[in-house]
Amino acid sequence: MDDQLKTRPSLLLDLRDPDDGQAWSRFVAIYSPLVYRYARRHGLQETDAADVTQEVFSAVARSIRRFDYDRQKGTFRGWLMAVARSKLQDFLARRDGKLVGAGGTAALRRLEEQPSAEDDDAFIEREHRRCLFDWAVEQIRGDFQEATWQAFWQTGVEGKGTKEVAASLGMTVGAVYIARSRVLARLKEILREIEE
Amino acid sequence: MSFKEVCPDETKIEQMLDGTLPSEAQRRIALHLENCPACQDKFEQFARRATLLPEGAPQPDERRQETVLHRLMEKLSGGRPEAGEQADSPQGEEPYLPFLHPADDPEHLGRLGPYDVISMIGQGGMGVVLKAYDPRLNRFVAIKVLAPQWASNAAARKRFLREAQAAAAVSHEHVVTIHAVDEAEGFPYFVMHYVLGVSLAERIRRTGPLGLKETLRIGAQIASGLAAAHAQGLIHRDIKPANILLENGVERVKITDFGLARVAGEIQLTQTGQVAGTPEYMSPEQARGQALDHRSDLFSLGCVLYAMIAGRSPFASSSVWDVMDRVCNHPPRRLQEVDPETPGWLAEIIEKLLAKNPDDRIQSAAEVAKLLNWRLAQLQQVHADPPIHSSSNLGLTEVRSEPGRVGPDGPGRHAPALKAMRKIGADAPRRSPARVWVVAATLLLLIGTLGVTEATGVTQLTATVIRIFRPEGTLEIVVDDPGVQVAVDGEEIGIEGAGPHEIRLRLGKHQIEVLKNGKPVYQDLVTVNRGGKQVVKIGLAPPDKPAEESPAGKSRKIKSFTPEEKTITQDGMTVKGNAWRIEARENRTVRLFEIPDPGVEDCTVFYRAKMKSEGLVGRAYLEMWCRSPDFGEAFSRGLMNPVGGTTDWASYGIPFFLKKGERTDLIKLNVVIEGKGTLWIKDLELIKGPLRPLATR
Repeated sequence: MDDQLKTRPSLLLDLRDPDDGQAWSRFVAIYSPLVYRYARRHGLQETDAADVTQEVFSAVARSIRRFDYDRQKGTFRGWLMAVARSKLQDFLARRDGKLVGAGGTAALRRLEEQPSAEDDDAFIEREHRRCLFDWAVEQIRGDFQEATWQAFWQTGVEGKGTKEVAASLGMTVGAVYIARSRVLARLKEILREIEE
Repeated sequence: MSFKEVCPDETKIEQMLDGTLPSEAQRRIALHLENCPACQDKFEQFARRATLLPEGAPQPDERRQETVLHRLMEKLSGGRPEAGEQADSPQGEEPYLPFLHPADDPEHLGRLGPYDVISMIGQGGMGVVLKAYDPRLNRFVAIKVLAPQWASNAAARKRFLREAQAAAAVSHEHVVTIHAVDEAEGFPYFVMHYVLGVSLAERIRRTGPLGLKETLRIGAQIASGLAAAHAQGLIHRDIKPANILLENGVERVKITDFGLARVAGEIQLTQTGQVAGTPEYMSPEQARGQALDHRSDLFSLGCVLYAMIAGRSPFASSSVWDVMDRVCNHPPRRLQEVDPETPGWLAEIIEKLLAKNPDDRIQSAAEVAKLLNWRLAQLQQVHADPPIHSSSNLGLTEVRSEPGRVGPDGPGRHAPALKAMRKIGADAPRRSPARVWVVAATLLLLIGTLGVTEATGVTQLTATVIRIFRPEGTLEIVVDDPGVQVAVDGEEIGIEGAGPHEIRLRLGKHQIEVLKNGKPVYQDLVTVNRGGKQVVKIGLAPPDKPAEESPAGKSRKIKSFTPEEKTITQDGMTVKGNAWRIEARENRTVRLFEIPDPGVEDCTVFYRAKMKSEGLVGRAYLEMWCRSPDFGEAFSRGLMNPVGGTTDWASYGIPFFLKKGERTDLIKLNVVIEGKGTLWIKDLELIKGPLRPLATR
């Protein structure tokens, strides 16, 4: 019971409520870049990747209520990416002018042939973290003064030296650290809220 | 200066970089850092190791694909496709029609009550329209079912049924007959005469502007259908080409969707492309969310007549706000500029219908029908254009027909806008697939009421608080006057007593407008982002109460400001004696002072000052921002009492209501000049007063 409370799959639960448009748009904001980049990674053109992503989300919207949340069976993201993978295959099959059933293997091979330094799972893991970060950043960006934000961004993300940043922003070094700290705290807070 | 502080240990450093250190400790370390180069270096090392994202910021070459992605996200997040509208389905997926029972005939979609549903004809904001067969009477019918997302709302359901029943009472050859109003499985629906044909919108889209006789014939039929409805006390509220059906063959007009706009307006504040999305045919009073009568339909009829000649609505524009602005404030481009063939008398009739003030319009639909029919009869009998002046016999006496008359804006004013309209027109068909994605709304708008007594001598103020909940925050509008109306996207929000009202807003831009006596006193465009977190709080200053008056109750000064203190904005500011002189060459917000940690809560904060203008064209008002860890950043503006043409010192004040638990850690005092000229300001003070809820309104 305690366990259940700790692992509240909030995003997913909210998502299953068809009237919860907020959950839906948050879901889109976080996951559509992931699906899109995944499709791009497999060699799709921008517009094709957008089409496939749209299909994936359309399918998800239709079947989300049937998805049983069970950590034992696999993660939500795993399920989403399985849908993405299947839609991508369909797309490649269509593009190659073959029926999904008959010539699907060629498409599948194509999918698997994509050479890359890292496997899909690592890519998805990394991209997902980045998508989350991008999303969270967008959420909190407006909460901070420009200087505060710059102090955080330049030192924390762009990796610039604190003194340099402090000088360019006309802040003290201490103020830069405070700014960075404040933004980071907020960032963590918002990420915590949506963690699955 | 002495710093007893010792160098922070590594745990502290990590915590500081991590954002997990309490703010007081942070401040101490920051101070220490200023004087300890060794610690600065140490921090630097740690900070470099703790870069947040190994990938860093997006690379420039990703930008292009980011825009594609961005558009995609906008489209996707507009709504989930299952919620009511049909998904964009290249693979032919079925529409979402949960109210249907399985059909006996496999060719049919399903059954609804006694009807066999054959296909889906279309869908609007309110619901889906189905083509069905009535086996008892052996005829086809069109059935409109309240969309699933509204069907669970009891008030919406009731309203839908009531309006449909009212519309069913109208029996006229130019109004779509409603055969039955019913409910099945909790889904209200009504059954209409099935009109085989196209809508006027479709007709215009396909063949462009209509000929003169066609325009007169269709216009007269719409007017006579409207007259019949108006005689029953029914206002259509959404007269537009899409709601005018043209029966195949004879092209007889059938007006559809009577009164439903009202249902739509109440339950779905905006739904793209439906209510707020197409205000092009709305009357100004409707766009402003004011009370309206049958003459609102006459304005819309004017728009439709105009559209038949010009091929587009007179107020078409690229954005909803632009459209609203045009509807409310600008005359449309003269018809004869659009089409020089337009007879003067017709242009006049339309112009008269498009009068911003309902009193200036032709007063009844019956009159319009009579006028148009008479002109049509003349055209069919004679070949010559009838004499212009005969129009004055038919209720158009105030309209003069000076040939060279030019509207107040002069010709050509709208020429650039026209280009934009054409572009939109061309885009429209291509865009329509995207529309089906735009469905479910995302926001809750909570409306409650809160009474307060404030401290500037104005007692018994009742504030209305409107909250728009966002995923991460609240949009709150505080209006300190019970006599105002609040409209979001042109739809007035009924404020009836306390208790939450829910209204849905889709993602994107929304206009918040506060009206007093029908005049807008505050307007703001609020962008609703995915998970957006912006909080706006508006307090309107009491109009006739100078801040001078002795404050009643326990109010105390937090701080006053004199020109000895340096203002934040320096540009264009000079100090003269005890006042500041501010020059504005264009709209500007002048930042005056910031008060960190004012230590106020559960009170009303007043920002007061004396101001006068000198050659100021436009207006100026006080603005106060309060930042809070609880509600983000919000502001109050003195829009109700701006400095205008006066040149003498007068007192101005604006309140900001801080409820219990709403702390603020920064107050910013600004002055906003909209226009140009010189503004003087002095005697700035920040005052704290009580916030007392009233027992009754």
